[in-house]
Amino acid sequence: MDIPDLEARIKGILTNRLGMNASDIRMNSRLTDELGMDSLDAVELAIATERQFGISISDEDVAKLVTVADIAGLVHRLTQEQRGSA
Amino acid sequence: MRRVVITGLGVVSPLGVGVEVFWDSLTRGVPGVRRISRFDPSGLPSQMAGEIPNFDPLQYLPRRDVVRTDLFIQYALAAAQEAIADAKLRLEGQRDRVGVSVGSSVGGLPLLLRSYDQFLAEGSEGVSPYALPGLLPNMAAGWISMRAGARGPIAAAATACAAGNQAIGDAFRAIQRGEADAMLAGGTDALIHPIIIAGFCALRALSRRNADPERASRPFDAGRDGFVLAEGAGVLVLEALDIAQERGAHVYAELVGYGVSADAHHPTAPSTEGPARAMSLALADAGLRPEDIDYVNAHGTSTPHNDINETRAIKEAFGSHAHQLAVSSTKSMTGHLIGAAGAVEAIATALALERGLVPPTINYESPDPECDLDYVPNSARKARIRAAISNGFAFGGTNATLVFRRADATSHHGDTSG
Repeated sequence: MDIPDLEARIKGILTNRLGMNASDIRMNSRLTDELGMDSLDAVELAIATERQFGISISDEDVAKLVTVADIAGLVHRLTQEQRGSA
Repeated sequence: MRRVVITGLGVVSPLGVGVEVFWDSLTRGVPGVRRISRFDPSGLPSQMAGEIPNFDPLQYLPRRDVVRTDLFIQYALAAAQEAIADAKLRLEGQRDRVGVSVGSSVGGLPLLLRSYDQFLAEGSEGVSPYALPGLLPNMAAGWISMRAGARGPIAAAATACAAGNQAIGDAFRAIQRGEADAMLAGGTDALIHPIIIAGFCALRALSRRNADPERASRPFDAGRDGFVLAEGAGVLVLEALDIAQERGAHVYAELVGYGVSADAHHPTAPSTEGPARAMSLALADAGLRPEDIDYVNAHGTSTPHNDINETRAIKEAFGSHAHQLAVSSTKSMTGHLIGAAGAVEAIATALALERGLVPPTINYESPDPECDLDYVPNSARKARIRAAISNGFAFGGTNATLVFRRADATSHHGDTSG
C-alpha cells in the first residue's frame, strides 16, 4: 500500500464515517482542535480503520492520535507489525 | 399561572418540509400518501405510507450530525430550526429559561435494527458508538437542546400516538408553573420500516387499499379499512404570554388547556369513556364550556374502531353541541405520523385558528351511519373559530387533548382565562 493511497483511504473514513468536510482535512489537521473529533468519533474512527485495513487498534493507540498524519503513521506501523505476526 | 401562546411553527410532513407548503396542501386537500419507495413493499399487506418527499438532511444539518443520528432526530432538528426562526426566538442570555419537550414513540428503531445486523455480522466490535445516542427516543429532545443551546427543562414523552400531544401538554405546564419562559415542544417519528408495517398489519390496523394509496386514509368514511403509516416531525415554540408580548412576537394562538386520561381497559382497543374524559378535563382546564369550541382536529386515524369510538366520545364530552362542531382529520392527507401526529396536528389547529380556515377530511365519500358528525368533507371551510381542541389517543389507553384559543381572543378577552 503506497502512502497517497493510505492517506486517501483515511480521509475517506473521516468524511464518510465521521461526516467531516473533505475540504477541511489536511494531513496536519489536528483531529480534536480543528476537526472537532470527540470521544464517540475516536471509537468510530478506530472501528472503521480496523475494518478498512484489517488491523487491530488499541484504545491507547487511539488516545495518542493528534493529527490526520498520525492516523496514517499508526496504520502504516500496525500493518507492518501485524502482517508479521499474522 | 402564566398564560402560554404559540409563537413559532416548524413541520416536516408527507406534505413537504416547511409550514407554508404544509398549510397550502392541507387546505387544498392534497394527499401525501404514496406507494412506499424507501424499500420494496411487495409482500407486505400494506404497501403505502406518508414518506417525506425529497428530504435531504444535509440541507438542514452539518454532515457531522447526520452521520450520528437516525432520521427521527433529523426531522426533529429540521422542524425545530424552522420553528425557532419563525418565532425569531433569541436564546442568548436566557438559555436556562428555554426548554425542550419533544416526544417519539420508539425513537430510532431502524438504526437499532441496522446496528443489530452489524452485531450479527461482526460481533460487538461492529456496533458503532453512534448507535445508541442516535436512536434513543429522548435524543430528539437532546439534540434540539444541543443545537439550540436550550438549557431549561427537558422531556421526551414516549406515549406512542399521543406522544406529540403529551409533549406539548408537558411543555405547557412547565411554562404555566414558571419553570421555563419558552419551550420547544412537539413530536417526531420515522418508522417506515418493514418490521413496523408488519407489526401494525398483525394488529389489522393498516389500510390495505394498495391499488389506490392516495385514497387509503379516509377517516370517518364508511369504506375506511385502517390507517396509513407516515413520518415526520412538528415543533412549536410555546412562550409565556407576557414574554411574547414584551418582545412583540407574532402569536398564532393561545394554548389554554390540556387533559390526559387512561382507559385502564385494553392494550390496543379504545374505550369511549377515556377519550371523552380527556376532552372534558381539557375543557375544564381551559375554563371553557363545550359550546365555546368550534373546531375539533380529530385523532381520526381511519381505522374502523377509532373513528366510531372517537365520534361517540366527542358526543359524550360535548353533548348536544357535538353536532355544531366542525370535526376534521388531517390524517386523511398526512397519514398517521405516530409520535409526531399530535405535534403536526397542533400546528394545523393553530393555523386554522389564526387563518380562519378549517382543513378538510379528504376521501370522504360514503357516510358511515355510526359516524354522524360534521367532518368538513373534502374541501376546506372558512370559519371564524373561537377555540379548538386537538385529540391524540394511543395504545396503552393513553388519551391526551389540547385546547387552543384564537389569538385575538387572547388580547381582548384575557380575563376569561381559567
